Amino acid sequence: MDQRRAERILADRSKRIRQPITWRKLKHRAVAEFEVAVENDRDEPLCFAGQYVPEARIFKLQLFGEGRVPLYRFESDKEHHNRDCSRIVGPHINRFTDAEPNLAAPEKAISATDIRLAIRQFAQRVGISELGPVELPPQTALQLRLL
Amino acid sequence: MSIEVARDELADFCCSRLCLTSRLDRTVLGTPFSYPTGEAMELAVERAGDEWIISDMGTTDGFLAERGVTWGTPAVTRVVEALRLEQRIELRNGVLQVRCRQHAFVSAIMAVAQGALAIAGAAYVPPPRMPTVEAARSRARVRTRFIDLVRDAGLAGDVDVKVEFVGRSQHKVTVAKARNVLIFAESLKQEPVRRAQAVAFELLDLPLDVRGAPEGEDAWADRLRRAACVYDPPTESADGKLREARQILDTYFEAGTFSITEESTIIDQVTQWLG
Repeated sequence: MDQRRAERILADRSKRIRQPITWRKLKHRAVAEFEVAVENDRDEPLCFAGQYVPEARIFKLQLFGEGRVPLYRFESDKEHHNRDCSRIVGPHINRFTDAEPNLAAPEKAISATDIRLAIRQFAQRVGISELGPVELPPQTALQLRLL
Repeated sequence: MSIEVARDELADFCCSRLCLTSRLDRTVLGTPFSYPTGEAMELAVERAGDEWIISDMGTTDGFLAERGVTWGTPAVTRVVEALRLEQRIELRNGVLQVRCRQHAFVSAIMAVAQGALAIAGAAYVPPPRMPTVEAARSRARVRTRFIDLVRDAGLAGDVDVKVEFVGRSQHKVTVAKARNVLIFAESLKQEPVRRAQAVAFELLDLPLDVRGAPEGEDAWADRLRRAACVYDPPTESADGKLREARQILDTYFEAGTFSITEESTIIDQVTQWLG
Protein backbone atom coordinates (compact mmCIF):
# COMPACT_ATOMS: atom_id res chain seq x y z
CA MET A 1 0.00 0.00 0.00
CA ASP A 2 1.12 3.53 -0.67
CA GLN A 3 0.99 4.68 2.93
CA ARG A 4 1.20 8.37 2.13
CA ARG A 5 -1.69 8.10 -0.24
CA ALA A 6 -3.81 6.21 2.29
CA GLU A 7 -3.08 8.83 4.93
CA ARG A 8 -3.95 11.64 2.55
CA ILE A 9 -7.25 9.95 1.81
CA LEU A 10 -8.09 9.58 5.49
CA ALA A 11 -7.12 13.20 6.21
CA ASP A 12 -9.16 14.57 3.30
CA ARG A 13 -12.33 16.16 4.71
CA SER A 14 -14.03 16.52 1.35
CA LYS A 15 -15.36 12.97 1.48
CA ARG A 16 -19.14 12.76 1.36
CA ILE A 17 -21.86 10.17 0.90
CA ARG A 18 -24.95 11.42 -0.87
CA GLN A 19 -26.91 8.22 -1.27
CA PRO A 20 -28.82 6.71 1.65
CA ILE A 21 -27.22 3.83 3.51
CA THR A 22 -29.53 0.89 2.87
CA TRP A 23 -28.80 -2.61 4.07
CA ARG A 24 -29.60 -5.70 2.09
CA LYS A 25 -29.94 -9.19 3.47
CA LEU A 26 -28.18 -11.70 1.29
CA LYS A 27 -30.38 -14.60 0.27
CA HIS A 28 -29.65 -17.89 2.05
CA ARG A 29 -26.80 -16.26 3.88
CA ALA A 30 -26.12 -15.18 7.42
CA VAL A 31 -25.16 -11.58 6.74
CA ALA A 32 -26.65 -8.21 5.81
CA GLU A 33 -24.51 -5.67 3.99
CA PHE A 34 -24.40 -2.19 2.56
CA GLU A 35 -21.92 -0.53 0.26
CA VAL A 36 -21.98 3.08 -0.92
CA ALA A 37 -19.64 5.19 -2.99
CA VAL A 38 -17.77 7.98 -1.24
CA GLU A 39 -17.46 11.12 -3.32
CA ASN A 40 -14.45 13.33 -2.78
CA ASP A 41 -12.63 16.25 -4.34
CA ARG A 42 -9.54 14.16 -4.99
CA ASP A 43 -11.44 11.82 -7.30
CA GLU A 44 -10.32 8.80 -5.34
CA PRO A 45 -12.50 5.75 -6.00
CA LEU A 46 -13.60 5.12 -2.41
CA CYS A 47 -16.41 3.13 -0.94
CA PHE A 48 -17.89 2.71 2.52
CA ALA A 49 -19.21 -0.73 3.42
CA GLY A 50 -20.82 -2.37 6.38
CA GLN A 51 -21.62 -5.90 7.35
CA TYR A 52 -23.92 -7.21 10.08
CA VAL A 53 -24.02 -10.84 11.23
CA PRO A 54 -27.28 -11.20 13.18
CA GLU A 55 -26.50 -14.63 14.63
CA ALA A 56 -23.27 -13.38 16.14
CA ARG A 57 -24.68 -9.90 16.92
CA ILE A 58 -21.62 -8.22 15.49
CA PHE A 59 -21.09 -5.63 12.79
CA LYS A 60 -18.14 -4.13 11.01
CA LEU A 61 -17.70 -0.90 9.09
CA GLN A 62 -14.99 -0.31 6.53
CA LEU A 63 -13.61 2.35 4.24
CA PHE A 64 -12.08 0.96 1.07
CA GLY A 65 -9.71 2.62 -1.35
CA GLU A 66 -9.10 1.96 -5.02
CA GLY A 67 -9.33 -1.70 -5.92
CA ARG A 68 -11.19 -2.35 -2.69
CA VAL A 69 -8.08 -1.94 -0.62
CA PRO A 70 -9.10 -1.69 3.04
CA LEU A 71 -8.09 1.61 4.62
CA TYR A 72 -9.88 1.67 7.96
CA ARG A 73 -12.11 -0.82 9.73
CA PHE A 74 -14.20 -0.91 12.87
CA GLU A 75 -15.45 -4.16 14.39
CA SER A 76 -18.10 -3.97 17.05
CA ASP A 77 -17.38 -6.96 19.22
CA LYS A 78 -14.89 -9.37 17.83
CA GLU A 79 -11.66 -10.54 19.31
CA HIS A 80 -8.66 -9.95 17.09
CA HIS A 81 -5.32 -11.75 17.21
CA ASN A 82 -2.50 -9.52 16.00
CA ARG A 83 0.54 -10.99 14.33
CA ASP A 84 2.62 -10.23 17.40
CA CYS A 85 0.28 -12.51 19.37
CA SER A 86 -1.29 -9.57 21.17
CA ARG A 87 -4.98 -10.00 21.65
CA ILE A 88 -7.56 -7.24 21.30
CA VAL A 89 -10.86 -8.04 22.91
CA GLY A 90 -14.06 -6.14 22.17
CA PRO A 91 -14.65 -3.18 19.86
CA HIS A 92 -11.56 -2.32 17.87
CA ILE A 93 -10.26 -0.57 14.80
CA ASN A 94 -7.92 -2.04 12.22
CA ARG A 95 -5.28 -0.02 10.42
CA PHE A 96 -3.51 -1.24 7.32
CA THR A 97 0.10 -0.35 6.70
CA ASP A 98 3.00 -2.00 4.92
CA ALA A 99 4.64 -2.87 8.22
CA GLU A 100 1.45 -4.11 9.86
CA PRO A 101 -1.14 -4.98 7.24
CA ASN A 102 -3.93 -5.58 9.73
CA LEU A 103 -3.14 -4.14 13.13
CA ALA A 104 -5.99 -3.92 15.62
CA ALA A 105 -6.27 -1.47 18.48
CA PRO A 106 -9.04 -1.04 21.05
CA GLU A 107 -11.70 1.52 20.18
CA LYS A 108 -14.11 2.94 22.71
CA ALA A 109 -15.23 6.12 20.98
CA ILE A 110 -17.37 4.35 18.38
CA SER A 111 -20.57 2.75 19.59
CA ALA A 112 -20.60 -1.04 19.54
CA THR A 113 -24.30 -1.28 20.31
CA ASP A 114 -26.06 1.42 18.29
CA ILE A 115 -25.30 0.74 14.66
CA ARG A 116 -26.74 4.03 13.36
CA LEU A 117 -24.65 6.00 15.78
CA ALA A 118 -21.62 3.84 14.99
CA ILE A 119 -21.95 4.60 11.29
CA ARG A 120 -22.04 8.34 11.97
CA GLN A 121 -19.12 8.15 14.39
CA PHE A 122 -17.10 6.02 11.99
CA ALA A 123 -17.85 8.42 9.14
CA GLN A 124 -16.65 11.30 11.27
CA ARG A 125 -13.52 9.39 12.20
CA VAL A 126 -12.51 8.73 8.61
CA GLY A 127 -13.29 12.27 7.49
CA ILE A 128 -16.63 11.82 5.77
CA SER A 129 -18.18 15.23 6.20
CA GLU A 130 -21.61 14.55 4.73
CA LEU A 131 -23.73 11.50 5.36
CA GLY A 132 -27.27 10.88 4.18
CA PRO A 133 -30.00 8.91 5.90
CA VAL A 134 -28.91 5.71 7.59
CA GLU A 135 -31.17 2.66 7.83
CA LEU A 136 -30.91 -0.20 10.28
CA PRO A 137 -30.15 -3.70 9.01
CA PRO A 138 -33.30 -5.68 8.17
CA GLN A 139 -35.09 -7.33 11.10
CA THR A 140 -32.35 -6.43 13.48
CA ALA A 141 -33.63 -3.29 15.15
CA LEU A 142 -34.87 -5.23 18.15
CA GLN A 143 -31.67 -7.25 18.48
CA LEU A 144 -29.56 -4.14 18.30
CA ARG A 145 -31.55 -2.49 21.06
CA LEU A 146 -31.07 -5.59 23.17
CA LEU A 147 -27.32 -5.72 22.74
CA MET B 1 14.34 -21.83 24.26
CA SER B 2 13.75 -25.45 25.15
CA ILE B 3 10.93 -27.47 23.68
CA GLU B 4 9.33 -27.62 27.12
CA VAL B 5 9.23 -23.84 27.35
CA ALA B 6 7.75 -23.64 23.87
CA ARG B 7 5.13 -26.19 24.86
CA ASP B 8 4.23 -24.19 27.97
CA GLU B 9 4.00 -20.97 25.99
CA LEU B 10 1.76 -22.64 23.45
CA ALA B 11 -0.41 -24.02 26.22
CA ASP B 12 -0.67 -20.56 27.80
CA PHE B 13 -1.56 -19.05 24.45
CA CYS B 14 -4.30 -21.57 23.75
CA CYS B 15 -5.74 -21.63 27.25
CA SER B 16 -5.84 -17.88 27.59
CA ARG B 17 -8.05 -17.71 24.52
CA LEU B 18 -10.50 -20.29 25.73
CA CYS B 19 -13.37 -18.53 27.42
CA LEU B 20 -17.12 -18.73 27.82
CA THR B 21 -19.37 -15.70 27.62
CA SER B 22 -23.10 -15.30 27.51
CA ARG B 23 -24.70 -13.30 24.74
CA LEU B 24 -28.46 -12.95 24.91
CA ASP B 25 -29.83 -16.44 24.54
CA ARG B 26 -26.68 -18.46 24.04
CA THR B 27 -23.27 -19.33 25.31
CA VAL B 28 -20.34 -18.23 23.19
CA LEU B 29 -17.07 -20.13 23.32
CA GLY B 30 -13.85 -18.28 22.55
CA THR B 31 -11.28 -20.46 20.77
CA PRO B 32 -7.54 -20.17 20.10
CA PHE B 33 -8.28 -20.19 16.38
CA SER B 34 -8.55 -17.15 14.16
CA TYR B 35 -9.51 -16.47 10.55
CA PRO B 36 -6.70 -15.61 8.13
CA THR B 37 -7.35 -11.92 8.74
CA GLY B 38 -6.77 -12.27 12.48
CA GLU B 39 -10.41 -12.25 13.53
CA ALA B 40 -10.80 -14.63 16.42
CA MET B 41 -13.17 -17.52 15.96
CA GLU B 42 -16.03 -17.78 18.38
CA LEU B 43 -18.56 -20.59 18.42
CA ALA B 44 -22.06 -20.68 19.83
CA VAL B 45 -22.93 -23.59 22.07
CA GLU B 46 -26.61 -24.38 22.60
CA ARG B 47 -28.49 -27.19 24.27
CA ALA B 48 -31.33 -28.81 22.32
CA GLY B 49 -32.83 -31.65 24.34
CA ASP B 50 -30.27 -34.42 24.63
CA GLU B 51 -28.03 -32.81 22.05
CA TRP B 52 -25.66 -29.92 21.76
CA ILE B 53 -25.64 -27.59 18.75
CA ILE B 54 -22.31 -26.02 17.93
CA SER B 55 -22.36 -23.25 15.33
CA ASP B 56 -20.09 -20.58 13.91
CA MET B 57 -22.94 -18.02 14.18
CA GLY B 58 -22.48 -17.07 10.51
CA THR B 59 -19.07 -15.50 11.01
CA THR B 60 -17.51 -17.68 8.31
CA ASP B 61 -20.23 -16.48 5.95
CA GLY B 62 -19.32 -12.93 6.92
CA PHE B 63 -15.68 -13.67 6.05
CA LEU B 64 -16.74 -15.01 2.64
CA ALA B 65 -19.23 -12.22 1.94
CA GLU B 66 -16.64 -9.57 2.64
CA ARG B 67 -14.52 -11.07 -0.11
CA GLY B 68 -17.39 -11.42 -2.53
CA VAL B 69 -17.22 -15.19 -2.32
CA THR B 70 -20.38 -17.28 -2.27
CA TRP B 71 -21.00 -20.77 -0.97
CA GLY B 72 -21.36 -21.79 -4.61
CA THR B 73 -17.71 -21.07 -5.34
CA PRO B 74 -16.24 -24.43 -6.43
CA ALA B 75 -13.32 -24.39 -4.00
CA VAL B 76 -15.68 -23.61 -1.12
CA THR B 77 -18.34 -26.08 -2.23
CA ARG B 78 -15.79 -28.90 -2.22
CA VAL B 79 -14.83 -28.20 1.37
CA VAL B 80 -18.44 -27.84 2.51
CA GLU B 81 -19.37 -31.12 0.90
CA ALA B 82 -16.42 -32.89 2.51
CA LEU B 83 -17.35 -31.47 5.90
CA ARG B 84 -20.93 -32.61 5.47
CA LEU B 85 -19.91 -36.14 4.59
CA GLU B 86 -17.04 -36.60 6.99
CA GLN B 87 -17.94 -34.43 9.97
CA ARG B 88 -21.72 -34.10 9.58
CA ILE B 89 -21.39 -30.34 9.58
CA GLU B 90 -24.43 -28.70 8.04
CA LEU B 91 -24.74 -25.37 6.29
CA ARG B 92 -28.03 -23.65 7.14
CA ASN B 93 -28.62 -20.22 5.68
CA GLY B 94 -24.98 -19.37 5.88
CA VAL B 95 -24.45 -20.81 9.36
CA LEU B 96 -22.17 -23.82 9.88
CA GLN B 97 -23.45 -26.09 12.60
CA VAL B 98 -23.21 -29.59 13.94
CA ARG B 99 -25.37 -31.51 16.41
CA CYS B 100 -23.74 -33.90 18.82
CA ARG B 101 -24.25 -35.90 21.98
CA GLN B 102 -22.39 -35.17 25.18
CA HIS B 103 -19.63 -37.70 24.52
CA ALA B 104 -18.77 -36.07 21.17
CA PHE B 105 -18.91 -32.49 22.42
CA VAL B 106 -15.21 -31.68 22.16
CA SER B 107 -14.70 -33.32 18.80
CA ALA B 108 -17.74 -31.43 17.46
CA ILE B 109 -16.25 -28.13 18.58
CA MET B 110 -12.96 -28.98 16.91
CA ALA B 111 -14.76 -30.10 13.76
CA VAL B 112 -16.68 -26.82 13.38
CA ALA B 113 -13.59 -24.74 14.12
CA GLN B 114 -11.40 -26.65 11.69
CA GLY B 115 -14.18 -26.71 9.09
CA ALA B 116 -14.66 -22.96 9.30
CA LEU B 117 -10.92 -22.46 8.90
CA ALA B 118 -10.80 -24.79 5.90
CA ILE B 119 -13.60 -22.85 4.21
CA ALA B 120 -12.01 -19.52 5.00
CA GLY B 121 -8.71 -20.83 3.69
CA ALA B 122 -10.29 -21.94 0.44
CA ALA B 123 -11.66 -18.46 -0.10
CA TYR B 124 -8.74 -16.44 1.16
CA VAL B 125 -6.53 -14.37 -1.05
CA PRO B 126 -4.11 -11.79 0.35
CA PRO B 127 -5.56 -8.28 0.55
CA PRO B 128 -4.92 -6.11 -2.48
CA ARG B 129 -2.33 -3.38 -2.44
CA MET B 130 -3.20 0.15 -3.28
CA PRO B 131 -1.53 1.54 -6.37
CA THR B 132 0.67 4.56 -5.95
CA VAL B 133 -0.51 8.01 -6.93
CA GLU B 134 1.78 7.81 -9.96
CA ALA B 135 0.24 4.52 -11.05
CA ALA B 136 -3.24 5.95 -10.63
CA ARG B 137 -2.33 8.98 -12.73
CA SER B 138 -0.82 6.74 -15.35
CA ARG B 139 -3.98 4.72 -15.41
CA ALA B 140 -6.10 7.82 -15.70
CA ARG B 141 -4.02 8.81 -18.72
CA VAL B 142 -4.50 5.38 -20.24
CA ARG B 143 -8.19 5.62 -19.69
CA THR B 144 -8.50 9.09 -21.18
CA ARG B 145 -6.42 8.20 -24.19
CA PHE B 146 -8.32 5.01 -24.71
CA ILE B 147 -11.68 6.73 -24.66
CA ASP B 148 -10.37 9.38 -27.05
CA LEU B 149 -9.09 6.67 -29.29
CA VAL B 150 -12.41 4.91 -29.39
CA ARG B 151 -14.17 8.16 -30.19
CA ASP B 152 -11.62 9.24 -32.78
CA ALA B 153 -11.95 5.92 -34.49
CA GLY B 154 -15.60 6.68 -35.04
CA LEU B 155 -16.61 3.77 -32.96
CA ALA B 156 -18.50 6.02 -30.60
CA GLY B 157 -20.65 7.55 -33.33
CA ASP B 158 -23.84 5.56 -33.34
CA VAL B 159 -22.31 3.02 -31.10
CA ASP B 160 -23.22 3.01 -27.47
CA VAL B 161 -19.87 2.99 -25.79
CA LYS B 162 -19.87 2.05 -22.19
CA VAL B 163 -16.71 2.08 -20.24
CA GLU B 164 -16.24 0.22 -17.06
CA PHE B 165 -12.93 0.03 -15.32
CA VAL B 166 -12.30 -2.66 -12.81
CA GLY B 167 -8.79 -2.82 -11.70
CA ARG B 168 -5.71 -1.65 -9.96
CA SER B 169 -2.09 -1.08 -10.74
CA GLN B 170 -0.74 -3.78 -13.01
CA HIS B 171 -3.80 -4.22 -15.05
CA LYS B 172 -5.15 -5.75 -18.14
CA VAL B 173 -7.72 -4.28 -20.43
CA THR B 174 -10.40 -6.56 -21.67
CA VAL B 175 -12.50 -5.47 -24.58
CA ALA B 176 -15.58 -6.95 -26.10
CA LYS B 177 -17.41 -5.84 -29.16
CA ALA B 178 -20.91 -6.70 -30.07
CA ARG B 179 -23.17 -5.54 -32.85
CA ASN B 180 -23.96 -2.20 -31.33
CA VAL B 181 -22.30 -2.05 -27.99
CA LEU B 182 -18.70 -1.91 -27.00
CA ILE B 183 -17.65 -2.30 -23.45
CA PHE B 184 -14.24 -2.68 -22.05
CA ALA B 185 -12.82 -3.12 -18.65
CA GLU B 186 -9.51 -3.62 -17.02
CA SER B 187 -8.96 -6.02 -14.24
CA LEU B 188 -6.53 -8.00 -12.17
CA LYS B 189 -6.39 -11.67 -11.39
CA GLN B 190 -7.27 -11.07 -7.79
CA GLU B 191 -10.03 -8.57 -8.36
CA PRO B 192 -12.80 -9.41 -5.95
CA VAL B 193 -15.50 -11.53 -7.46
CA ARG B 194 -18.12 -9.24 -6.02
CA ARG B 195 -17.01 -6.30 -8.12
CA ALA B 196 -16.65 -8.29 -11.30
CA GLN B 197 -19.98 -9.92 -10.71
CA ALA B 198 -21.65 -6.62 -9.97
CA VAL B 199 -20.27 -5.15 -13.16
CA ALA B 200 -21.41 -8.13 -15.15
CA PHE B 201 -24.89 -8.24 -13.87
CA GLU B 202 -25.47 -4.50 -13.66
CA LEU B 203 -24.45 -4.00 -17.23
CA LEU B 204 -26.46 -6.91 -18.46
CA ASP B 205 -29.40 -6.32 -16.16
CA LEU B 206 -29.30 -10.02 -15.39
CA PRO B 207 -30.61 -11.73 -12.32
CA LEU B 208 -27.87 -13.36 -10.32
CA ASP B 209 -28.77 -16.87 -11.37
CA VAL B 210 -28.47 -17.09 -15.10
CA ARG B 211 -29.65 -20.66 -15.09
CA GLY B 212 -32.88 -19.60 -13.45
CA ALA B 213 -33.80 -17.20 -16.20
CA PRO B 214 -37.40 -17.88 -17.16
CA GLU B 215 -37.08 -16.68 -20.72
CA GLY B 216 -34.79 -19.45 -21.83
CA GLU B 217 -31.61 -19.23 -23.83
CA ASP B 218 -33.11 -17.71 -26.96
CA ALA B 219 -34.45 -14.76 -25.06
CA TRP B 220 -31.09 -14.30 -23.42
CA ALA B 221 -29.45 -14.28 -26.79
CA ASP B 222 -31.65 -11.36 -27.90
CA ARG B 223 -30.81 -9.43 -24.83
CA LEU B 224 -27.15 -10.21 -24.91
CA ARG B 225 -26.76 -8.91 -28.41
CA ARG B 226 -27.61 -5.50 -27.08
CA ALA B 227 -25.05 -5.55 -24.34
CA ALA B 228 -21.67 -6.96 -23.69
CA CYS B 229 -19.86 -7.47 -20.50
CA VAL B 230 -16.19 -7.83 -19.98
CA TYR B 231 -14.35 -8.88 -16.94
CA ASP B 232 -11.52 -11.08 -15.92
CA PRO B 233 -12.65 -13.52 -13.29
CA PRO B 234 -10.25 -14.18 -10.46
CA THR B 235 -8.34 -17.38 -10.81
CA GLU B 236 -8.66 -19.31 -7.58
CA SER B 237 -11.84 -17.90 -6.13
CA ALA B 238 -13.88 -17.44 -9.25
CA ASP B 239 -17.55 -17.81 -8.66
CA GLY B 240 -19.14 -20.68 -10.50
CA LYS B 241 -22.05 -18.58 -11.63
CA LEU B 242 -19.71 -15.93 -12.90
CA ARG B 243 -17.85 -18.50 -14.94
CA GLU B 244 -21.11 -19.76 -16.28
CA ALA B 245 -22.23 -16.28 -17.20
CA ARG B 246 -18.90 -15.71 -18.89
CA GLN B 247 -19.32 -18.88 -20.94
CA ILE B 248 -22.74 -17.75 -22.04
CA LEU B 249 -21.43 -14.32 -22.94
CA ASP B 250 -18.58 -15.81 -24.89
CA THR B 251 -21.13 -17.59 -27.01
CA TYR B 252 -22.43 -14.32 -28.30
CA PHE B 253 -19.52 -11.96 -28.13
CA GLU B 254 -16.05 -11.68 -29.37
CA ALA B 255 -13.73 -10.69 -26.60
CA GLY B 256 -10.08 -9.83 -26.49
CA THR B 257 -7.73 -9.51 -23.56
CA PHE B 258 -4.62 -7.38 -23.63
CA SER B 259 -1.86 -7.06 -21.12
CA ILE B 260 -0.71 -3.54 -20.48
CA THR B 261 2.97 -2.87 -20.49
CA GLU B 262 3.05 0.67 -21.84
CA GLU B 263 0.31 3.07 -22.79
CA SER B 264 1.11 2.98 -26.46
CA THR B 265 1.31 -0.76 -26.44
CA ILE B 266 -2.14 -1.30 -25.16
CA ILE B 267 -3.70 1.31 -27.38
CA ASP B 268 -1.97 -0.13 -30.37
CA GLN B 269 -3.08 -3.60 -29.45
CA VAL B 270 -6.65 -2.62 -28.88
CA THR B 271 -6.85 -0.43 -31.96
CA GLN B 272 -5.60 -3.26 -34.06
CA TRP B 273 -8.04 -5.63 -32.50
CA LEU B 274 -10.97 -3.27 -32.91
CA GLY B 275 -10.09 -3.00 -36.56
